[in-house]
Amino acid sequence: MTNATSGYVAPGEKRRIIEDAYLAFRPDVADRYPRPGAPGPPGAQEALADLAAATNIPRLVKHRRLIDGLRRSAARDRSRLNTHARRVLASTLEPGLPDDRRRSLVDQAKSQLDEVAAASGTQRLQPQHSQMWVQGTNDIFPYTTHEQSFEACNDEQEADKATPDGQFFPSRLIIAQFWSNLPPAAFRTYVDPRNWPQCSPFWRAMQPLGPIVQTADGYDGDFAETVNIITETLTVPLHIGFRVLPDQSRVWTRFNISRAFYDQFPGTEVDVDTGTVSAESVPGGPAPTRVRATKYLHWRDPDRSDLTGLSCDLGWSDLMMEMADGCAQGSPADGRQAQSTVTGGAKTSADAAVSQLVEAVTTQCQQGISESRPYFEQLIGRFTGSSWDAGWINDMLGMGLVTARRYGNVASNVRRFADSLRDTPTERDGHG
Amino acid sequence: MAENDLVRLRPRDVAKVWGTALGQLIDLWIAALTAVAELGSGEQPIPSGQSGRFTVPLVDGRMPGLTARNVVGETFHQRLDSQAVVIKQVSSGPGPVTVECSINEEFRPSQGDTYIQGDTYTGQIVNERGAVVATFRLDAGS
Repeated sequence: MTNATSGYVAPGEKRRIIEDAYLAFRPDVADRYPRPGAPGPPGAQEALADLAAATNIPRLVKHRRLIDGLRRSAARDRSRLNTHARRVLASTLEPGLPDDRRRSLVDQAKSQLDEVAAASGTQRLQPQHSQMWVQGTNDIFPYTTHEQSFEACNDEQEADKATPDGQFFPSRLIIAQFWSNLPPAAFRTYVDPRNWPQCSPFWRAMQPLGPIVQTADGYDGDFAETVNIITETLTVPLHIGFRVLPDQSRVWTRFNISRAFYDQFPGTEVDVDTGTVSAESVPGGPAPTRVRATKYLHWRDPDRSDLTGLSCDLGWSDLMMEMADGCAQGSPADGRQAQSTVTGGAKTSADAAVSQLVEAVTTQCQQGISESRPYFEQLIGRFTGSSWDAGWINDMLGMGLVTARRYGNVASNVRRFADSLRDTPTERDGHG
Repeated sequence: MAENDLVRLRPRDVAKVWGTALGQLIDLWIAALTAVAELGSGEQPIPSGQSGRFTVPLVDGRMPGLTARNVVGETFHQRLDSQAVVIKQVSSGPGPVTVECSINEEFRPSQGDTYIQGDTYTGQIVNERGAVVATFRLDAGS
């Protein structure tokens, strides 16, 4: 239910609004999955009005639904949706703008929207349209790095994968990713599958099926994953490994169909469900950290409608967008709020910031020395053999890379420390 | 800046400025060092995915014999025989040749393990002399 004053919508309602904004432009899918008690498929104007009114749906979700919907519409239908499209765009502008400025920005955004909606390509949102939109409106909506680099979904690739009974089927590959200035460890909460039901309304539950086994770098466990797509609820037993590298440069989850529990779920709709959700330091990208989700799916029953074709539009990319948007505990946040939340919680006092800095720097030094050890051992070994070994340069470079990366992490900690100090004056001395 | 403004500057304000400046300097340093390292190491990392590509110089006019080694899953640590990795030449010409590697999904790790466990597998490609010519991270299994 939407709160009339704040526009906040509860998770279930949020899910319905996002799905309706999709179904309104896909009558074929809406007919296949009619909502109980609903008079018919959602209308486009009503769906866009709901999308505009909800304040806690991420900006990127609104834009992507809007572009996708308009691209699927004929030109004359698009013109009938002008007013509602403008409302959706207006709802994603920064709050507090003067009315004339707001009108001007909406005009600019609408003009760009019309171009993207009519751009060449398949009649749906594709990665090139997303890029065109972000590049054309970056001065209107000052996008975060997350939003600028968001890519979803490529669901056209297939790869042969084995089912639990040993057959091989071409399975749909879906990929979504974005880049972030936050360190990989900042995404630990969201990469951990136990938190997915709190992160995205697409997930209903992650129910443990047995003991969760702690490992040196994470845990292993079997879970019954329950997701919701429109009117359908799907449950799949998954074997999951959650891992964090000791230097925190990579956090990831690997999931596969649980062979141990598969037979206990005879109604499971998919027989291939495997992939990775990860946040890792990757040099050379638009930001230091790449957050990525890949998933292979195969629908088991060829006589039933294959819902895997919708999981990209109505689930997998949603999770990524919620992650990009912060997925703050229980209350969706904008990019800036997300940053302050995931980098260390609420307000940090100066004393706590000092402690955190000292701890982070000493940890980086300790781990850096440990990480350099194998290179150093190899290096020394190369000079004690019977002949010269030119591989020493690789060892030197390896140690140099470790050093550089560690100092980079130290620099990031210094930055966060400085930001903490910037935020503390009002709580401490009240002036400045 | 007036003299009084300078007095109002607190150490933490200066720390913020220097912290940012230091961070940017180190970012530059990392970028430069990474570029040098990638140029000089001779081992080309392949991005994670279903398959990866790298180049090798021809030896006596032909592609050198290449094999995979140390193939192990990052998450569940399942080890795969080098036979699981398919290595094929995808370009030809007078200069270096492009080679693609991937994991054969139908490979059976052993009699006990009849399927490849879904994971990201890392390993090395070595030439006939045992020198590493590329490292890989490949997604495979289910």
